Amino acid sequence: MSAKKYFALIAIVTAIFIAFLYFSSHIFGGYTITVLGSIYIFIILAISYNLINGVTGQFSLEPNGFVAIGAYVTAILLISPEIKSELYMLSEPLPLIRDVFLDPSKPFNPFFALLISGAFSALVALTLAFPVFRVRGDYLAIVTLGFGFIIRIFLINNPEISNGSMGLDSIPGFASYFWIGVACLVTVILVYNIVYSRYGRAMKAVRDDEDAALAMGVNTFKIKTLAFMTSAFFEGVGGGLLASSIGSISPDQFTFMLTFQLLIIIVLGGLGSMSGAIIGTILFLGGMELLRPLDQATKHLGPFHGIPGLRMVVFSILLLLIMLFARRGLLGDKEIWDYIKIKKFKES
Amino acid sequence: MDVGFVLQQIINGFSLGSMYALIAIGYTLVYGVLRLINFAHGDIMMVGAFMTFIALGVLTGWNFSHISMPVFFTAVGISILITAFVGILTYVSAYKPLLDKGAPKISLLITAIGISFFLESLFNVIANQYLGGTYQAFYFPKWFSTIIHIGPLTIPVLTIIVPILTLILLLGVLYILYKTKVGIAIRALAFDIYTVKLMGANSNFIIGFVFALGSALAAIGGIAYAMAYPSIDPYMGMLVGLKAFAAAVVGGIGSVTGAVIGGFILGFVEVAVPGFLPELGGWKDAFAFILLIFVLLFKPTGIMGIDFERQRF
Amino acid sequence: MKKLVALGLSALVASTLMAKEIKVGVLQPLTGPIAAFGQKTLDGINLVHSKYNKLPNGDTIKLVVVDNQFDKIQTVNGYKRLVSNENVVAVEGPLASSMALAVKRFASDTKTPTVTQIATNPRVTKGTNYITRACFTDDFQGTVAAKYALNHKLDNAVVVFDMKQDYSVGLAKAFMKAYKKGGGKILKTLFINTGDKDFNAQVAQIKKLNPKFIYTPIYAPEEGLFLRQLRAAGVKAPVMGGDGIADPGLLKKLAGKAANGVMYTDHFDAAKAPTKLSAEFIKEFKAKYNRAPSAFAATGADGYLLIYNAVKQCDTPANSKNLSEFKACVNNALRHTKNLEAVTGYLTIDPNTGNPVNKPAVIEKIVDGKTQFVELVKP
Repeated sequence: MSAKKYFALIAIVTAIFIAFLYFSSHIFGGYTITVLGSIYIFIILAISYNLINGVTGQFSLEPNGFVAIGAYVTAILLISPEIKSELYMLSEPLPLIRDVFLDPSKPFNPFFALLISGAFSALVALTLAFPVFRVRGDYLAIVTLGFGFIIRIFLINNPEISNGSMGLDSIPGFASYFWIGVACLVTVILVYNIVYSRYGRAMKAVRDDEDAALAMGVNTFKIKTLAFMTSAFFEGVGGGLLASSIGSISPDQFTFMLTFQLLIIIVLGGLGSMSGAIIGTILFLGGMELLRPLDQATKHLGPFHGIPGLRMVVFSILLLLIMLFARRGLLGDKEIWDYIKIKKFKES
Repeated sequence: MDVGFVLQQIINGFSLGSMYALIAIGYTLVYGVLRLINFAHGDIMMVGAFMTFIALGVLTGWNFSHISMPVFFTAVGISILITAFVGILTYVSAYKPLLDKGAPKISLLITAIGISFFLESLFNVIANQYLGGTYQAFYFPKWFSTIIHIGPLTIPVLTIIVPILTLILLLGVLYILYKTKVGIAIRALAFDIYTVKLMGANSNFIIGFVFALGSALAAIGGIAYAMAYPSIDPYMGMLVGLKAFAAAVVGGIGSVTGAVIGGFILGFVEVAVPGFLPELGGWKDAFAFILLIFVLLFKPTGIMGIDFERQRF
Repeated sequence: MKKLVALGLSALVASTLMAKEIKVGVLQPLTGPIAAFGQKTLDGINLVHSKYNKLPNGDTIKLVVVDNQFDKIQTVNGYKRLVSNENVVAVEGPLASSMALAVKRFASDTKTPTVTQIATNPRVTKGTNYITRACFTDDFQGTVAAKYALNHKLDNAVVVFDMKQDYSVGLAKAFMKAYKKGGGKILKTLFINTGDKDFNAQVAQIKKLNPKFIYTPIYAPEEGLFLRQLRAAGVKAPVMGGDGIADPGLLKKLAGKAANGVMYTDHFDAAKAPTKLSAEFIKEFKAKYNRAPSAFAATGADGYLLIYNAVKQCDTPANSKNLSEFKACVNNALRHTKNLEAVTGYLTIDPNTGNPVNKPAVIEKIVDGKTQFVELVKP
């Protein structure tokens, strides 16, 4: 595809999506809008998680940690010092934490807050990458899983920074439906460009054969670290959006459950496929609703009735079945347009 | 700081550490043979504890007021057998099909997470539906909680038994690995799985044996854990399992002795830090992972210094 | 009085409407980690709803139940669904303070009267006119415990709280404030984490300090093992907890004999009905579910009764208000509730804060494996 054609395509997609955002916010009611909004946020999280797990092939379990960092940084930046001194009930906030403030009513400030959140997450990712990627082996999974615990323990044990288990509320709601949609679109375009850039190809090379990539002169440590940091950046941004759209956060929100959901999403859509991650998000969030009766003790399903927790059993079996029988998920590691292209080619 | 307090902490550390050690051995064995972090291993320990509870319930007719030693050990025996079987089952149903297809390692790790979640949610449903709640009290013969007074120390019998049992089991595992045919086969398999297959060894039997052995040890660890802290729930294995894996890496993954040493170190750290520096008590669950990151930074081969490309166990 | 307010409001409008259904939303955790609490709450709500669903002019109240899964995203989505798709006039829930805080902004934005029946965090009703609370706050519960200890000359204490639970941290803070003010001495605050099983480090410290009183605002799974280890180490001081351990079944199961003597503050005692309505409720609850109602069921019923009473005042024969006027009327009536006969006692809401006035707490004690009433404490 020539550069001209490519930009034209992006412009068209952007125009269509913005139009959709505009009209949907007028047509649908508050509930549909809220659900669509959370789908956009999950798309951001899923495609960035896919970057490290699917594209680079490094099994990581990090999203909950970085989403938490992003959410807290955004919250601390945007809550005014007056509200903060009222909010921090367990201990006085550190002067630095109390005074740092980007007035959300000024233009671009929420945008800067999101960027800082992402950058902060990426920085933490860099410090984690150092011990982990230096050695071969699957330590990334266990370290990132542990990291999720450490972040939560940090948030709980440092009330002067995070207000402990009480969490933060009154977070300014700049993340309207429209802006979440725009953020999602921008993320998709950016990540797409990374995946199909020189770095993206290097990431795939690391996934397919690390030794061969190394032999070809790819600095695998650098590539893995880069992928991990990019992933963390967008997860931080997603966390910031999440915090703003809900308005209150607490350490409990960012458990391993969040990571597990994202893992199912990207495996369902096909590891390594961006469009797969997007479709996976929609299917998963929809499926959660469809399977809800399984959890309700009062609901009768034919001769059976729901049992609280049964839904999780079904989900884990689903994950296992996909891995065992359809390991490539819905789209494999290809994109949806690759399939359309092949079809077109056959037709012609 | 009185001597009694210090001694008490040391004994508690030994006791907690042995439970981590028993679970860590299983991680190290499976990792050695398949290079797979078996995320479900922590939940296998939970299965061991729950199965003992259920077997005891069935044997005593759910009346736990008096449990005699023979009944208890029958239940423990049944539980160890079932847990070992569950271990083999996870290998046959979830890992083997992928290994046969030559799937990339990331698929195996995802399946492992899937199995872990499956076991947790399954036992959650069982506990809620048939046992009357997520949390269950764990019952065992009263003799184990008999308290021995030595000077200023108060030590339950159990606290002394568990570390001794752990050391005996460690010797047992080492004996199997170095003195029996199966053990030699395991070590050969760990060294080069393809060559061993080419030489006609039944690699499935050997790997199955590794899973059974690891799961049986995890079951014993789980039972000891449930006796020390007599409340069991379906999620009890998750964190303990992760910590035990961290302990295995600290000790030197691939080394059975290393796993035991790593387990003891973690046990000591977790008891000593909140004991002597109470203000750090909130960080208890993070110690294992902080320790892990430091070991990866400065000595990736762990305390036993296992160079994974050259030697194992 | 109440009728006057309602008449005044309804006299403005004329009635041409037929009997209709009025929807009330119920947003509770029916799945997820605290599903059991949500289910108990719903049992209480359903029982009073089956009795009090007809309004004087022939309209009926219909409940729309939504599960929030104890998850903030689901809580917000569920709340929006109730408000914008189901057009409910009021929402009861959500149960936990952290979830109630998540709906605070949306309650104000959509001007929906929301009754949180058992969220005890003081911040829940702060800064909004649309959230009304049906129970006492942590501040009061902590004060009650402190008063009890001081009245019994237990003037030095150790506080053990759970760092991971906002509930526990808030309650511990409230207790310490009241206890120090009353002349008590806090020897030490120790903390634990949800899911901890080994409390030997804390117990060793307590043994060394030898306090007269131990306050443990933690949840039952931890309290059970804590008590066991505490009593095994030979500490005999009285222990008191908050409504987090008001699940005597679980506590007795986990602590065994060590549960004896432990006290806790609770919203009401099923053996001592404070009102006539309450006595009936307890009787019918036992008949229907074959067990005594817990505090969750009782407060759930209270929340519904508050909403029912408010809707009853607004839904007069002359009612032709549109939805937003109706909601404004319900909210106003909710906030001006006076001496409403409910399950845990008589409810009066302070119009400015949205909190109940003079809501008493009970102190219970476990004796020989049975729950025993100790005393009723009024603010």
